Amino acid sequence: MRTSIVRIVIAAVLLAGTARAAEESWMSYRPHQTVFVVNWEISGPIGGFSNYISDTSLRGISFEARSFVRDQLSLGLSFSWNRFDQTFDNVVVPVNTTSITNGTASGPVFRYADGFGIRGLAHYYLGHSQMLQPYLGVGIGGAWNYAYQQVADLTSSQSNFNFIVSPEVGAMIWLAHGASNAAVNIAFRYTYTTATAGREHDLQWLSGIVGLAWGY
Amino acid sequence: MNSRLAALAAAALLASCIEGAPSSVVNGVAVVTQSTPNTNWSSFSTFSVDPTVAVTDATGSTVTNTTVDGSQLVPTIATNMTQRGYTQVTWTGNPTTTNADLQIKMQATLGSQSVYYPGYCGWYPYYGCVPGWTYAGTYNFGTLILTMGNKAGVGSGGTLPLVWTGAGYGVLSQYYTPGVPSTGANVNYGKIQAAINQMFAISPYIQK
Repeated sequence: MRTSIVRIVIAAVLLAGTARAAEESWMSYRPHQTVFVVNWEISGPIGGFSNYISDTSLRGISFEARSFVRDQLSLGLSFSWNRFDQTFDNVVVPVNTTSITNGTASGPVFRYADGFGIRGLAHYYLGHSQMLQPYLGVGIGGAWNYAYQQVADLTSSQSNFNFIVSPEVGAMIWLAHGASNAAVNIAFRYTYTTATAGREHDLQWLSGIVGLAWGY
Repeated sequence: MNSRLAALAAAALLASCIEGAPSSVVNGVAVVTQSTPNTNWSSFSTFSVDPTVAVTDATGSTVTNTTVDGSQLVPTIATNMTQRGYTQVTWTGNPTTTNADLQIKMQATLGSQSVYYPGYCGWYPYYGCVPGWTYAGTYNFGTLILTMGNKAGVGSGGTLPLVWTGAGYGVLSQYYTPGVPSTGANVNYGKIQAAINQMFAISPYIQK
């Protein structure tokens, strides 16, 4: 009997130690404390970017992994892709280049801008509700941006790697808790980059985000 | 198996998200105009249009120069100039004997090549000034170029100082087929006329 009690105590201590060790390292994989998220992003250019493309983009997706290092704090990583494009019936622009000065150009123009971002994430969760977890978050990292312009079969493009920062507010609406956890993620995000598209610099946009999250 | 299907679905979704320029852009009319700074457009009263189109064809292994009749395009140019307050004068076939303040020539280029304005001497110092020819840049397939010279500055050999150029890019793909000079059947006049009208539309300073 005494031997059994000792074994139980030893097992409990060892298991507790393992759990604590896992909690202390945010890089480690912890099934009930790591959340994966797939988001659909609806984005609208703002600032100078809206001079380049003003249409709302429905083509955006991001993948996130969030690992809880505290009850209300997670750190993680995100990969994202956003595409903005627009066709203009007729654009008139002044031209002053080394070969053409005092000029004007016009024509139908197709423009797009792609942004591939990789960001480190930090999220702080408000409240302790089992159903609703509002949060404040920020992502900081780098983004490869590619912008393209075409008129007739004349094309030009810009490609550059840039800084990206994206604060956001959102909420996890938990649908299931247990061995597997599932939630709907909704968020509103502001994205700032140092990217260039055409004659516009420091591209910025606002995104409405809806996604699915799961942890297990 | 499921993962393969998921990968294929993801690839199809991504491909559907990436699309190129619509045909309205690819086949659209693109226009560039350029004016000589400090031109006093109100000082001119009359204009004339050379109805001959000088065609430079660089689509083959050798560059050929021919001329085709462009008289069907003259009314479009004349209408725009008349609306700006200028009076049309008959082209005599020679810039020195044509009694018009502004003289307009048409040039077509097929293929990508450097283009020189015939009969004019440009104002651009870095282009230099080869008698009778002025470097205009490199144009691509099917470009119609309008050049406007100032009769008041006519030089020896009949060269005129350039006051305005207009280029309609990609409008002549059906205008001239090598070996088949323009007869009208293979000409998309609507597209060419739209380009000419657009050249004037973005040049509001051309005004009596």
